[in-house]
Amino acid sequence: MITRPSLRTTRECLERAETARTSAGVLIAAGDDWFVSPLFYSAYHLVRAALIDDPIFDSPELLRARDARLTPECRFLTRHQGRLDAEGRSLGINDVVGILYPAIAVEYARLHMASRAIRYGDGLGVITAQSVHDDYAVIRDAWDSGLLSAAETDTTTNDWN
Amino acid sequence: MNVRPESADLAASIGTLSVDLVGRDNLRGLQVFIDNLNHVGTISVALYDNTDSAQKNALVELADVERAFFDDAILSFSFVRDIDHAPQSLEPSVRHFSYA
Repeated sequence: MITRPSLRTTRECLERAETARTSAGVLIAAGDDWFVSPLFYSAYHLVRAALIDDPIFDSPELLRARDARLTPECRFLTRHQGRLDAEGRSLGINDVVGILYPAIAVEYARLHMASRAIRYGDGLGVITAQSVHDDYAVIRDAWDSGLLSAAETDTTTNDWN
Repeated sequence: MNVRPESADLAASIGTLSVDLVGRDNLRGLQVFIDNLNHVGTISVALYDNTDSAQKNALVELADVERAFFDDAILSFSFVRDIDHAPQSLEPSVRHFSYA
């Protein structure tokens, strides 16, 4: 099995997010629906940057207070979905976004759905290109505004508790 | 080790809750596939109204379904025009629920 080293710093993730956004722009200019995939991965790397940068992972107490399933290792998650095995249910990035960043959870979920629809289905279908742009903008704005920091957000808005 | 529900029951439970939460009035159809081997599943949702707000409302409800079955299944979602366009599976290990 071939494994690739994942990006381990906020800066690396942000650079990758920007590369993916540039690629999406090229495909948008060409009128190609495949722009959805790099745009989703730009959002994915923004979320990974946020997780690596989030001070909540420096505080076991804050982590436990937010959700008992969160561990310091979640800071460096790379897989989208969790897994079920003999030891129970592990978290994926999609889960952690729902727990820590509920303000972007719906947009991130639909952007991931759109990316899967493009890669594995016959196109966007009932998800519009405009919603893809809008969902990405919500995530991008949240990062640019410094809102992707669970240590500073109100836990009462989190349905996962 | 956790004892997990058999996937046919699980697919029906997930499907029934999804229909209840998303709402029959909003649904053209809904389909659930769960693989009995790893409990990885997909909920395919065909809404009458595919506007931005209607899809987002459905996703909020589907997140509640995901939370309700968090320790039983790994779920993903897809929006489809109708469930005839939903992903299909011929794998013998896959169980399914359908509402139309």
